[in-house]
Amino acid sequence: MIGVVARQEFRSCVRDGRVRAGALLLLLLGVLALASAAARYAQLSSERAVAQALIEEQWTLQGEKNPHSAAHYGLYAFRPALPLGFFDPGVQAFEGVSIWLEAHKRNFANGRPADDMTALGRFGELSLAFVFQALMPLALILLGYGTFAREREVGTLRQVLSTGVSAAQVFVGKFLGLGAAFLLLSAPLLLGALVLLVAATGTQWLGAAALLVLVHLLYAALVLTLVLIVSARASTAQNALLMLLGFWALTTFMLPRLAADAGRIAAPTPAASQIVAAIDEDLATGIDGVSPAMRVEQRREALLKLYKVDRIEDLPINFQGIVFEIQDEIGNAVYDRHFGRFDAAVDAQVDVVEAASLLSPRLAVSLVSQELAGTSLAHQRHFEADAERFRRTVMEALNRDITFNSRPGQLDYRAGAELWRRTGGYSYSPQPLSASLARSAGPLTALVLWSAVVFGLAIVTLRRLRVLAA
Amino acid sequence: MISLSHAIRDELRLLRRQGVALGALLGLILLLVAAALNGAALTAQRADATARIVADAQLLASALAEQAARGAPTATSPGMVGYSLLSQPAVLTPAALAPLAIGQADLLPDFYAVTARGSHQFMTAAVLDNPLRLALGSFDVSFVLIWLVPLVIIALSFDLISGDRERGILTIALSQGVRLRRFVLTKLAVRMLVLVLPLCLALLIAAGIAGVPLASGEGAVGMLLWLLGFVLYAAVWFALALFINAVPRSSDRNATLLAGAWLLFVVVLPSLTNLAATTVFPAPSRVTLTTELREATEAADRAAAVARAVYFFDHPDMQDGDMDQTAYYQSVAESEQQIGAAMAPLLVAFDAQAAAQRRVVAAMQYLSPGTTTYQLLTGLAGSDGRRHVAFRQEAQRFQGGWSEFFSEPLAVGGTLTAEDYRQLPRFSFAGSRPSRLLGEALLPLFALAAMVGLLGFAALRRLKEYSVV
Amino acid sequence: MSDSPSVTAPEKVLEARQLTKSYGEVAALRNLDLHVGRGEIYCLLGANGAGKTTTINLFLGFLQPTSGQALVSGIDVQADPTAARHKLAYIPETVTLYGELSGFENLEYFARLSGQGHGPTELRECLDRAGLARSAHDRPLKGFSKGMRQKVGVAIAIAKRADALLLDEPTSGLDPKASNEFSELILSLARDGAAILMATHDLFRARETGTRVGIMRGGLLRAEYAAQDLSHADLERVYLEQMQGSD
Repeated sequence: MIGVVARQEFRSCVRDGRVRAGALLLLLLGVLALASAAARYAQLSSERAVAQALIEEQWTLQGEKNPHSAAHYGLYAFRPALPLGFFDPGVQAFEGVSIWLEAHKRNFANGRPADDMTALGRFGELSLAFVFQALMPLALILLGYGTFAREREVGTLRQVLSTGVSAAQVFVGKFLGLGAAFLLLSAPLLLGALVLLVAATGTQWLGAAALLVLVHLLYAALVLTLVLIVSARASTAQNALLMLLGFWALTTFMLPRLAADAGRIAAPTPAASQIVAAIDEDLATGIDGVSPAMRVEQRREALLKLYKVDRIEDLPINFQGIVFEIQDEIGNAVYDRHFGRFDAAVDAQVDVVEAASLLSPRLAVSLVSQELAGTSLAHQRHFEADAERFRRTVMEALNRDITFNSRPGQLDYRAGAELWRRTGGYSYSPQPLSASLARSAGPLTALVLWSAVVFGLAIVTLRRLRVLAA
Repeated sequence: MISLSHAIRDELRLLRRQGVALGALLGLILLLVAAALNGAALTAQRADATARIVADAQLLASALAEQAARGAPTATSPGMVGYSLLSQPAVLTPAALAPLAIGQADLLPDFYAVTARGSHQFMTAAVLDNPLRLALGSFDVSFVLIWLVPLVIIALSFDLISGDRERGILTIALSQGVRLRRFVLTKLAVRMLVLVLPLCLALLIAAGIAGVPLASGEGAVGMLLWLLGFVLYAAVWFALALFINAVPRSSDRNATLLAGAWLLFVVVLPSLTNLAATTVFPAPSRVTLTTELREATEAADRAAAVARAVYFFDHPDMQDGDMDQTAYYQSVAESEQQIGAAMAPLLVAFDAQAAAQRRVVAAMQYLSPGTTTYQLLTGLAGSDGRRHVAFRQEAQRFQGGWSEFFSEPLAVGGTLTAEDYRQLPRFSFAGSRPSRLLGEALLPLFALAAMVGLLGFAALRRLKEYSVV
Repeated sequence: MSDSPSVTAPEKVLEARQLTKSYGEVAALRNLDLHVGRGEIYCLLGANGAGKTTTINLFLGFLQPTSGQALVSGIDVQADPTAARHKLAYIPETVTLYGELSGFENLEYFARLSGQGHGPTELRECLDRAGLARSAHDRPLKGFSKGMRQKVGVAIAIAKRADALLLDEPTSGLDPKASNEFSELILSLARDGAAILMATHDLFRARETGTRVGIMRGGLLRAEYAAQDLSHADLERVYLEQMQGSD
């Protein structure tokens, strides 16, 4: 029974000339998105790999230098372009791609791709994620808005149900038929994307990609069910269409913006200038109420006592290195505090957006999609934290070199390539999939809740399915 | 013939009963006000931050002036003050209509910290914000006008003729002796009036609430042009609805076609335009910028190796011994010169590509009324990036003068006096004059009017052959 | 075709002269010659697709004839459809109108479209005459039955005081009582001087109310009779004969 309904639905869908035209357009758009994203990813990943290697070379070949000069020269950490970013660019366009790792200072990431886009870049990038999250629902709406409503108006619904088929069977049949048509449309795009992925990166990212596909299929199923429900409940096919179009437009395009601004109002982030000013002040006054000069003094006393000498010139180590270390201690604590404050504000805003995903399934799926593709805010944070960890390691090594390998008051101490080689070599390992999944718990829950609500609504609707037109 | 006032009143009654118009209008007005408040809050937040920076800089300058009067070595050393201590913020004051269209304003820096060191640092100045919020976009008045108003227009007029045709009303109405064209245009005109007039009023009120200075020249002219742009944009959508309706078709189909048009003009074409512009004229790689800057810095450092090797320049207070500041800072000045010269071609390339991209956008925008209107509205509000380019160029010029103010005395080993501090150059950015706003708005407005004209003309032509049965 | 002797030289309010409408190769109407005079009720009988609705649409000017003329009160419909329509009133098979407006408001709206300056009292009288109960005048049309809606349609036609009235399947879907009321109304309108062209399947009503009866098939007017010349049974027989012949 279900199969019969499904087959009929599928056939009428596929044979419709308009559906074919629309499908072709959608496919074209998808291919364009895929091609441009793949090209961009290829270019970006090679560019950054080359740049990281160049930085490495510059570091190693910087010649003989005082380690502290080298520390100020610093290194760069480049965020590699993760392959799944070609599916969903996430927030990457608005994140810096490189961080300058220098002495005493933690820098913000730099080189935002968005700064090089035209003003129209704010309309959104044309990506596969956009095609699947924003355009596919429209296609599903147009495919299915009249499926119950039109048949009711024309009278065939009554005919079908009078043959003894249950409403539920009709519903499932239509769902399967339309779903199959939708799969027919989207399968080539998805398969093409998967093939490209495997060709470029092997099976490393296949797990995440599979999850991405699954989440989007869940989303499509959710949307399709909703379309069928509205079609079954609306008084006329036209009303169904209008309601669905309105819902689509508002939840896809308006709600996310509202949520973003609501977050901004709830937890405004401090301006960069404010953060910098606060950092400068804290650096000058020190942490824990102990001024930097005091701290240096305390350390000096402790060391003099430890080595049982009276002057720093008599210490077996170069106190200058200790001074730099103290500076770094203070600096690290201050930066942790203030960067942390900024991150906390951003987190609060993200919480608001995640809460809003309860109102918009598109927002929910887009948040999950970003996490899985490795292009979310959290992934950038992970990179920034990793780069900072590396910076501290390098600075510590450089400071120690001064402390232990130079003599007190030796102004012309220089280290060489051996030290550079020991301290260089930044490479970023992205987080495991489990971490991304854990972070998507919020929006995933929203999706699951949506599915539950839609499922419940479907059952209620079927029980009281109106068979006769008004 | 039926009197016009009666016709209008009849249509109004119909619209009122149908409920859609009133509800949608109220919704839009609410959203407009919310959006205006949101835009105002964002603009105010940024203005507050820059005001604080300016105040802090002034405090520092006066403190240094005081110290210079007492002869303190740090405050009288032009090298130290110019290259390490003092920075003058070059501030971009928000345009009059800024709260109405955020555009690029939340992405581009609204101030540059000008020091005697080169202006290549401007390239790395960035606005710190939540990237997720930047990616999702802002809910401002231009969003409501460009994205949401067309949806309401579509809901009001997708079945302008087809609805009556399907209900058999068209045959009865025409059999009464009224001409199809007049019947349809009356309906259309009433819908336009019902939507556009209250929204224009709401826009003015929202702008007032948002703090737009409607009394000033820039504010008044800008607002007028905004209203005109909005009215024409709405007219384009109404004309499109008429055009779609002018051929007998089911209302569902009309709704689908109009929804597709919305998707195309408001969502897809702008993205495609951006893609085209950035593909044909890709900006130079920021990664390259980074590595080149490092190489230039390294080269300059090596050239100044002697001075640098013996001086830990960031720790003058941690270091004992004599410091020959003047010599040191002279070498710093020299290095900055070299770095600036080395970076200049790359920066010029960035600017050139950006300008080329803007030209592509300026040409391609007329493919979509959505893009045209967006460019118009953000342009009038000063948030489309062009104003920022002018600001940055002005800041760069200012930086040159500021740098000279310190490098000249530094070169001759002079000192700064309290009097010098009083002569510190000040930055001011001239806003857009009303005549300039008008000039920039003319072509887009004309293009929108042309779209209305073309669509309307084509619609009326098709209407002549409209088959009622 | 013999005119009924009781009508002496009625002016031809509705006249079709060799009226033809073809869609490519398919002829929906072929060489129709027909006229309806003042006070006459002409019932056009035929199966679906015979050309009845096409004829009505040609008189309304909603279709352009391939050849021939349609005239209303001497006005060539093709040349000046608007003027012709001012002389006509039309009631379609399904009267939908605006569901959000009441019967009275609908009447007011459409009456105003024709440029008439009827006051509210007059309009209500038209609704009364059409048979719509006063209590229903101001209820929204959404809740009306088919018969009630049709009455509003009739009221619109009455209010027009037109020379000619075109009716398309008016009694389809009406119960016998409503059908009867409708017949009475049509007869009274004819008595007032309207020329009425009615397309219908309803043989019984055609014989009851019609002055003349025409049978169409395949776009051709095959036969024409004065209603009083036929009994009900005769009419049925003749009708079925026509339907069974070859095109």
